[in-house]
Amino acid sequence: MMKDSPNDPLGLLEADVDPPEALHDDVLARLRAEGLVKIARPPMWPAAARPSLAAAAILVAFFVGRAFPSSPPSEVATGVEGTGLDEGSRFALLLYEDARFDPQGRSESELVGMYAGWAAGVARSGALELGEKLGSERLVLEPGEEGATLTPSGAGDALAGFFIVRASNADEAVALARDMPHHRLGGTVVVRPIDPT
Amino acid sequence: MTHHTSDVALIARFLERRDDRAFGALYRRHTPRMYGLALRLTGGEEPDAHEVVQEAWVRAVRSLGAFRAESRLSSWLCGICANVWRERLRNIRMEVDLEASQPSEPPPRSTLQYDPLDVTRALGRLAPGYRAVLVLYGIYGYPHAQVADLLGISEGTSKSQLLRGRRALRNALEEREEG
Repeated sequence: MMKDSPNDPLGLLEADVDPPEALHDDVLARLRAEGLVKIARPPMWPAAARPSLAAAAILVAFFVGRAFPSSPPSEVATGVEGTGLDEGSRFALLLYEDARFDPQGRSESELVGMYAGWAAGVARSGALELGEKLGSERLVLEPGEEGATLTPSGAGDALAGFFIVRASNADEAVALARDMPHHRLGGTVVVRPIDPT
Repeated sequence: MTHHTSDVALIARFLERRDDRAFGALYRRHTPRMYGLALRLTGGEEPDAHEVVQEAWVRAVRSLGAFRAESRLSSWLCGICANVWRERLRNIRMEVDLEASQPSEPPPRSTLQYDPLDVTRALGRLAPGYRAVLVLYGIYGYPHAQVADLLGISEGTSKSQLLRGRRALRNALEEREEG
């Protein structure tokens, strides 16, 4: 017997609750990342979408939750004014991690699933061009009297990876960035338009 | 008359193809119940419920081939959800300390005075052991023996925590109304 009395407050709660749409993408991304599910592509898949799906697949290995040592830049995009850019403008979403970045005990596969789920959703809309995780090694070329001087540097800015997306304008690009799981982990995302010239 | 493909047939199709379409049929049928359970167990914390269901599906798909048809797939999946939730609590015991928690009996009230959201939030304020028994037995209909198995407690403890949990829930709802 489930509800013992007509006055049982539990009787007000339905057993089924509609899950958020993002949950499906996140689950599928985890299953794909672990090789448990493959994608059945439709026979007439639009050619333009193929690079996006390839980019989404790259993201299976994206982000394992390292914390970088220095502070993020101050140019965090929050509520960018419309720039009047043409439809289909390209934007770089730059992902920074500093001391505030905290995977909160999530496993590597859980982190991969979070990012890959977001990327799969963007790829499905045709807006994702590329996504890459950056390694920790930094080789810095600085101007010198006899040309550029190469300086290996272990610590630098906290840029940990990037995505290239297509969006009608900066507001739309910011909206894409706002949905990214990076924020939930304390990471910062900077949105920069790619100058077509 | 509605014809449903059986869960066993959906599982067989998925195991044969291992693709997102076959999985999608299973997902659409069973995720609302899994998400509802996770939402109640986590006290209405949507991000936590999201992660519990995500992890539960991964574990379920890993061992779908071992699913035994004599049990209901929805019960099996919800059991995995409950296990994932319990693991996330790590060191919190499901057996509520009687010395620390002896809720008094509040006056009986009509359910019409409560809002479902208030009930979910009140559940979230209860000791996890009370909440888990109330949710699993009171909403999802698991028998005490199964609740006990899922939570690692005795059947008698499940029954007594159901009784005390109901009092604690009403108290939590009363506190909210007074506050």
